[in-house]
Amino acid sequence: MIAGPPRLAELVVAWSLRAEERAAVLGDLQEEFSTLLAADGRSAARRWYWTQAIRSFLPNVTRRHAASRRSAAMFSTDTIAQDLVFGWRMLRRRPLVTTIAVLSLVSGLSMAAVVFNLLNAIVLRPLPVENPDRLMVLLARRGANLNHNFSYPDFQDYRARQQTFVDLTAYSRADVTVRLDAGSEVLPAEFVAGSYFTTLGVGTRFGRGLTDADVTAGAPLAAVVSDRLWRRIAGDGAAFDGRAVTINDRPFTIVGVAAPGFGGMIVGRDVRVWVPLTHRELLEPGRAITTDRFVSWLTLVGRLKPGVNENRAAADLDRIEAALGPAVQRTEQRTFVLAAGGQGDSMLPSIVASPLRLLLGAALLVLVVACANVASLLVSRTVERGREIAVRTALGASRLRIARMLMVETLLLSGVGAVFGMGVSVWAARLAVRLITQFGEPVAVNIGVDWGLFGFVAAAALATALLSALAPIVHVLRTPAAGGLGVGGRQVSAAPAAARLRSGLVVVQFALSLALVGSAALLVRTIVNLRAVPTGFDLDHVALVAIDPVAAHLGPDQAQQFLHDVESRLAAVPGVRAAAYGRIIPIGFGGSRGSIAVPGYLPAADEDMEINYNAVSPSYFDATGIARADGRIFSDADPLTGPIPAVVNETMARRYWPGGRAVGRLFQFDGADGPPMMVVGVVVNVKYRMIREPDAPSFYLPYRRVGRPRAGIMHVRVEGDPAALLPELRRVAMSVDPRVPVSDVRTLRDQVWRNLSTERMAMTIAVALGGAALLLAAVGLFGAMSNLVGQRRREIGVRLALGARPSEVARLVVGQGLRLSLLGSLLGLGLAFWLGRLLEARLYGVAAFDPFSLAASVAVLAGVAAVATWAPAGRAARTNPVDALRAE
Amino acid sequence: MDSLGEFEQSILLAIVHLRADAYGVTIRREIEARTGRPVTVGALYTALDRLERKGYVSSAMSGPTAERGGRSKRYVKIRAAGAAALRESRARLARMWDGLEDDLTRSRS
Repeated sequence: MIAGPPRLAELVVAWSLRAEERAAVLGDLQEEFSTLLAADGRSAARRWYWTQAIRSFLPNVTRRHAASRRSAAMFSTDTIAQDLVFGWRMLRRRPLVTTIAVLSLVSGLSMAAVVFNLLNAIVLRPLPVENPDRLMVLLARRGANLNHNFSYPDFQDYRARQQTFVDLTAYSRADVTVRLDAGSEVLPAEFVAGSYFTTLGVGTRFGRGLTDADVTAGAPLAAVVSDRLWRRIAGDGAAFDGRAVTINDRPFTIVGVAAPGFGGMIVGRDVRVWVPLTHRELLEPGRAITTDRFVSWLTLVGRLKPGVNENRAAADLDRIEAALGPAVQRTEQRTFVLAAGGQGDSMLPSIVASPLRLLLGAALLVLVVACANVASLLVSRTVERGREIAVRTALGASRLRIARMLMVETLLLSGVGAVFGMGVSVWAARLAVRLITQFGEPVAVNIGVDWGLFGFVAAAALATALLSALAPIVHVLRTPAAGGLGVGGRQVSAAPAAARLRSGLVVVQFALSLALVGSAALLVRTIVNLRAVPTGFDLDHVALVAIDPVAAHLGPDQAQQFLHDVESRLAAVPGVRAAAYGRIIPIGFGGSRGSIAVPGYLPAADEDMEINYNAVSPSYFDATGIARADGRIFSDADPLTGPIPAVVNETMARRYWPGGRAVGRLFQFDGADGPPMMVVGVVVNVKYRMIREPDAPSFYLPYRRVGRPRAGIMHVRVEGDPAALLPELRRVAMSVDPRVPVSDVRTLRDQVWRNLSTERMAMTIAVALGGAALLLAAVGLFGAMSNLVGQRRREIGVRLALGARPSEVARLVVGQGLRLSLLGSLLGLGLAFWLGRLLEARLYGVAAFDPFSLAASVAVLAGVAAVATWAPAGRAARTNPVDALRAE
Repeated sequence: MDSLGEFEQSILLAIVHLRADAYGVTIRREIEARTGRPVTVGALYTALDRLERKGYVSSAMSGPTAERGGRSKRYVKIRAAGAAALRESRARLARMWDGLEDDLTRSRS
């Protein structure tokens, strides 16, 4: 065997070398070792090898270290620290530029963060329950629709027989009247099953959650209150003592205080009281809802067992229903669909999700406009710093190193922007959330900084920094290295390229602004159109007063008397023309529906015979301004037996009795055995739930013939402005019976306004975004034109010296600015059209491509561009030719 | 243009002498043979690295050979800039020597 070089020495050498060098150096050593071995013998060769290993060690290690430093120089921490310090100094040296850049970023980032905050709080964040992704909402398919509610007996049967859920629970939203020291208050509540707290995994701060024992008949009255309500009742820091609270006039023992932050299962609704669902009677005395299998009023939620998916759980429920349905004589076929239950069965997320996502996209476009400002400022700064950069390049700094320096500066800027932007966004989102209402009520959601928001803002800031650094870096890399080192530091070579780049950025800004302003214009027109939609009501003269005789435990006769008294007392208020009771609040999203059967009318196979109706007092039509089209209105003089006199709307009259008079015809509730209804009159159509709804059949019945009196609305029609009378109306309504809560007093105009809340929210945010984009673009244009005027000072001086008038010079500058804005606008038209298409479903009475909106937007942009170029143009016009030429 | 150190000049000249056969072992032997001064492998490669970074030489790895334990050689070639630097160094030195030949030979004797 051939003797090799000493193993240890070889290892030492190998270790001291870079990997790429090893083959060459170790090969050399071995080659020479072999030569020496043959010539001088083994020990001489070994000695030589060791000497080489030891004497080469230091040079090798030094070389390796130097090489690794060279390759790591781009990312080593000490140079980044240097860049940070240097970047900070540069930013501080130009406070105006820095301020504009930071303000641009703050506005861009905070806009995006506001919208994200809303999206996060309402749509993305699950309710504070345990393992929200294992919760499922139970829905039943009924034809093409889904039934969201179930009866209590059905719930009990499903719960007892199911095998795929840890447990099932049920709840129903309701408002209850709670007696507090300050007086009675109507508060959001939930009627819940005994499995509610355990299934959801919601803990208590004090006491215990409700249990099945609390829900059994005859159990003592028990309630759980929210942490906030507990503090109001007992005061901060009070010991938990199992005291009682009066809910709907009954004394309930507070058995527990829910975990702070938990506000029930409906997003946007801050529940304060949980009551066993067996006390549903508190809301409608005498109606045995809890024992009726055919009254659906509960939302069902289940927690899946580990390893069970929703399909298996649905199949299990279908199996139960296949046996249960026939046993209870259910006529309809019921199959189950399970939906994600992390937000319960809330409507708000599904209502606002799509507008908020669109708005988030728009906000990100605004952010791009802001980035263009930062990029533009940095580009002109690199021109100003051309000499410094040239010196650095000459001293061995690579272009990459300089690019990195710019990157660090934009990161600093966007970091500062992100911190302020996050703060501004929380404040602004709290304002913006007031724009969102649910069923006309303000929503309670938790706006604040959480990891989701933090992550979003951090990611947006990083993307912003990268995007902002792009243009200046491209500019630096393209500029010839020697360009900046001219005599006297005149950087003529880089300036025109920079000006072109800045002009390009301005064009991009105006293009995006046009798209955003154009979209905002579409939404503004939508609101204007929706406001002008005829509702059928006398919108400007009606006030609404919400009353609840049931909460005060008035018996049927007392309640009847109460409604009669309130009506006549309100009608007697000076300035009031008429007052009336109606069960359904106009244009309030909700209502009563009933399936009807019309003798002689054969419905189509899939025709929905369930239509809207309302129970009202005879003066309702006077008090709301609904015009009569035919026949008469029912009156208090009508007998209380025999056919129920009904007033139908025009659509109903036309649909079920085409070609003839509706008056005198009969119809009835499908399957009901009471007396039929007889049409006595026809009134014009009104909007029932929503402004945007198409005309649909509906009818009115005298409330005295439809079950017991319920909570409802007093409609008051006045001579002048109803807003002025609201306090007086509230006072009068409350004076009739102090026990009856008067929860809400507002004008009908206000009610319509609330009905449009999602549209208004979208419009307001879109207008804010469009305005912000426009402002940022104006700042960009102003900067670019100021820069241009500065650069072309000599040329302007020459023109003026040769006899050009200052006004001509000014026109030149303004013309240049307008050209950029118009070019941007033209390019933005395509994007505007595309955004319009995305918005199409939300528009009303205006097309996605609306020439009027776009023309107006282009005009607004041109106007803004003219204003933004005004100052630079003035500066150009005031140029003193002598100074300008001498300065060279 | 940087001036070349003596060791760097020796290396470049050795490469020129060796023509196509310049790699670690031959360069070292060439310098030792001509100057009689020992050269360590570490110093040689450090200098080669520097010369390569300056653009005076270029190098390429050959295929592995058995006598080197299956390792490759790093062949070095001089580039135009290296040749120019050599000429410049020699010219500079020559200008310094100009007119001193006699004095130094005399003082030595």
